[in-house]
Amino acid sequence: MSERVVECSFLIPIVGDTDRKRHKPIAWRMLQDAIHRLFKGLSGPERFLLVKDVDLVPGSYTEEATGRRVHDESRRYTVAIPEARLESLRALLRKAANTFDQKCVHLSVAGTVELVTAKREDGYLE
Amino acid sequence: MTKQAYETITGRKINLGRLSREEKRLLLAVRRKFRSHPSWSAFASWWTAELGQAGLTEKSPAYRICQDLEARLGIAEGKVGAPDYRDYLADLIEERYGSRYRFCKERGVDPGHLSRVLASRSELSLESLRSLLGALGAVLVVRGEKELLDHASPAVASRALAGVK
Repeated sequence: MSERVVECSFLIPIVGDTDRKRHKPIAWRMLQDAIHRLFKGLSGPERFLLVKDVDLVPGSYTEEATGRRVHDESRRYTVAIPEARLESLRALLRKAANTFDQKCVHLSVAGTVELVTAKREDGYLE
Repeated sequence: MTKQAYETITGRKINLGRLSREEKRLLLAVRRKFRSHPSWSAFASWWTAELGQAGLTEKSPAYRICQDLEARLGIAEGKVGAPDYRDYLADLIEERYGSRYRFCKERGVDPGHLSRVLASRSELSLESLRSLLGALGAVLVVRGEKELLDHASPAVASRALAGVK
C-alpha cells in the first residue's frame, strides 16, 4: 500500500527579521540541499513530484515595537511529502528559521496553517 | 573560462566535458530556458522538476550549475544579496573536502560555529578567515562591487553554457 502523501507549502521571507537584508546565495542553496536530503531514500512504485513549485509571494506583518504594517516578499515552496516525513520537514524548517533569521516559518499542511518557531538549540541548515 | 567548464559565481569550475547523456540533455534544456529570461523563482521551480524527471540528484554537476544560475537570476532581480566570503568558503570546502563535516573534523573547526557563520548569524575574524582560507589553499582578495556583480550576471553564465554540446 502506498504511503499517504500530503501537500505542504512554507514561506521564507527574502529578508531577515533583524537587519532586513536580502539573504546570500549560500542560504538559499543550503535550504535547497536540505530539502533534497529530506527526500533522499524515498522509493516505491509511485513516482511523484517532490518539489511541486517555488514562487514569490507578497505578504505583510505588523512590527511589534511600532505597530506599523510592513510589506515584504516571501519565497513559497510547495512540496508533496509522505505524511511520515512531516516531522522531519518541521525540523528542517526550525533550522531554516534560524538560518534565515526568522522568528517563525509559516507552514501549511494540507491547508492547515501552523507557525514553526525555532530555538537556538535547533541549529542551522547545513 | 574555457568552453569545457562552467564557472560559478564563486569561481568554482565545473567540468562540462564528462557529462552523462541525461545531464547533457538537461543542461541543453536549461540553456534554452535560461535564455528565455525566466524569473528567479520560476526558474527554481522549473529546474527542480526537470532534474527529478531526468532521474538526477544533487550529486550531479547539473544540480550545482542550476543552483548557480538560479542565484544569478535572484541577484540580478534584487531578491538575493551579492555573495560574500561565506559563499566562497562553502564552495571551497565542498570542492576540496567533499563535506563540511570532513573539513571540520580534519581541520579541528567547530562545526556549530561554522554553521552559524555560513548562516550569517556569526562572523569570522579576519585572522580566522585567513587561517581557514589557508587550509583551503585560498587567499583573501578585495574586489570592486561592480566587478563582482558583473561576474555574477546571468549573461556571463549564459555564455558559459555554450560549452554544453
